[in-house]
Amino acid sequence: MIRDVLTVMWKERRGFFAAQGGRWRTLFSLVSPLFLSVYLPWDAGTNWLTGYPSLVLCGLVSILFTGITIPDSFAGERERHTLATLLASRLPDRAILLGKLLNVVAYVVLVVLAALLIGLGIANGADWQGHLILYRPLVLAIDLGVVILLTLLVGSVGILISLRSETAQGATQVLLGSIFIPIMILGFVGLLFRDPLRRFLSRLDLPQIGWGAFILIGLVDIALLAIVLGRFRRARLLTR
Amino acid sequence: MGLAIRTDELTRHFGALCAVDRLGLAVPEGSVFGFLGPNGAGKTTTILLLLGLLEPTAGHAHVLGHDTRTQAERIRERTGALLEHPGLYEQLSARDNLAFYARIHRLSTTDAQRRIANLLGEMGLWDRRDERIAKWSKGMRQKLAIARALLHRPSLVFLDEPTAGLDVVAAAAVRDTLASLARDEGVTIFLTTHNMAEAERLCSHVAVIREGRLLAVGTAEEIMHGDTSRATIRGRDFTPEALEAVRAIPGVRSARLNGTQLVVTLDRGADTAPIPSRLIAAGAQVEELVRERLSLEEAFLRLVEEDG
Repeated sequence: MIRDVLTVMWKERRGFFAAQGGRWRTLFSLVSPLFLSVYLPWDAGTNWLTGYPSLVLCGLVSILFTGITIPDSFAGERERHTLATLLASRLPDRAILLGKLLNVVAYVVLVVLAALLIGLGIANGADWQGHLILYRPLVLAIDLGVVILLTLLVGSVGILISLRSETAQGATQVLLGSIFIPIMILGFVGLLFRDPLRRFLSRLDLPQIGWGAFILIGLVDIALLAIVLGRFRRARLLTR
Repeated sequence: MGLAIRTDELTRHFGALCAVDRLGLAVPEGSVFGFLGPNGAGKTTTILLLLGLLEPTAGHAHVLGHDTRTQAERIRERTGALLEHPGLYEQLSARDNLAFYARIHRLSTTDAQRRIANLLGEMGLWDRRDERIAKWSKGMRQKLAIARALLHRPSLVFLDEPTAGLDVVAAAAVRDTLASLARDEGVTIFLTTHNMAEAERLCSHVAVIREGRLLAVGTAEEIMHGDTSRATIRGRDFTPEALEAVRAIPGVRSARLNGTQLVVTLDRGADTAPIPSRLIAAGAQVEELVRERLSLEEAFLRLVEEDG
């Protein structure tokens, strides 16, 4: 099973970098993490390394990267007429699904690690304390945890959409819409009720809420993965 | 000889449409089995059912001894398939396309390299092995897709229109490869084609399907001639007595006039030699006797027409 998952990841990785305009697409997709990994640590100084502002970077990169890449997983294969042949191979269903999902997770984790490394240099440079300050291990662990959980969350939703879509472009539009429209609505509501919200948040135990959210997203991930595995039916994919 | 494929009342509905209707097939191991039918006859659906990619609505199918409902993964392990589309990754090179499937089928690195080199060489693609296939011609892609289907040395290969889009030379090369696979390595080949001349040349067994129903199945020879053969005789003075004399010959089923020609229907394999002498003895004059040989295409068209 692990070998099959790695086989799918191998193909996905090669396909991603070898795609038409692959180098430009890769460079373009790295612009926003690069910008964030410079601007945010510069603004936060060494607090970037000891506090939690890096969570913003991790969250944004996870959502954006996964939102852009995962819709291609099945809708793209269907569009390019490679899906039926892949399904006619001996690969088990789970290997195909997990290979595609874990490839995105691995890619996002690598990009975030690179961004955090850049942030380490920028934060120290912007706010030099006489010696190199490193990330607190807990901050780093939480950052990576958030990346994995959010990538799995968006990835699972993205696969569910991709399984049903005729084209990768259509799947991307639906996925990004279903992520950013609620975020924009919440942001708008937050702006409208800024003061009461601030008062409400000041009464809450934020670390505890953070851990609660962490566990909640983890549980949602598990539920979504179970749904994705349950909905993956070769026959259903071929008779759409 | 065992059976590579056996189906029993295999049926598949898509809503109200019956794509495959109580199909009964027996494909001998090592044969080249031609599955012929007009567009929309149910050929591709049958292949998907045999690969266990679609669940039958009713009936059963066994492929290489495995039940398609419960052992589909085992079937896909031991078979190769070229479906309706070549299914190649255009952004990858020819070598990477094959390397991916070599990994899927768990070929060792050395074996995979050797096998890929052999197949690309046989298909005349070795010199372009590291090119992305996005700009390749349809024929080159088709050859690569056939190479991919054969990569893991499957016992049975499903080929949906394998020579579609190939030039005459390439199509002949593919036919030779397929024929030698069946002859020398005992691989069973299940192929669909619209090219009747190709099927006639290549297939040891043939089935004709229309609107999901099996119209005929047997050796190519049986399909072409059924259990009878026909002879047409040109001449004069085909009197009723002369016709009766012909009808009395063992193996002759009927003799009738068609304009100035006498058409005689015989049992398949029956001898035509006594016909001219009997006619001459009855006072007729015989100029020429031609034993009809239907091509597979004519037999196919006749079957489809007879079915309405």
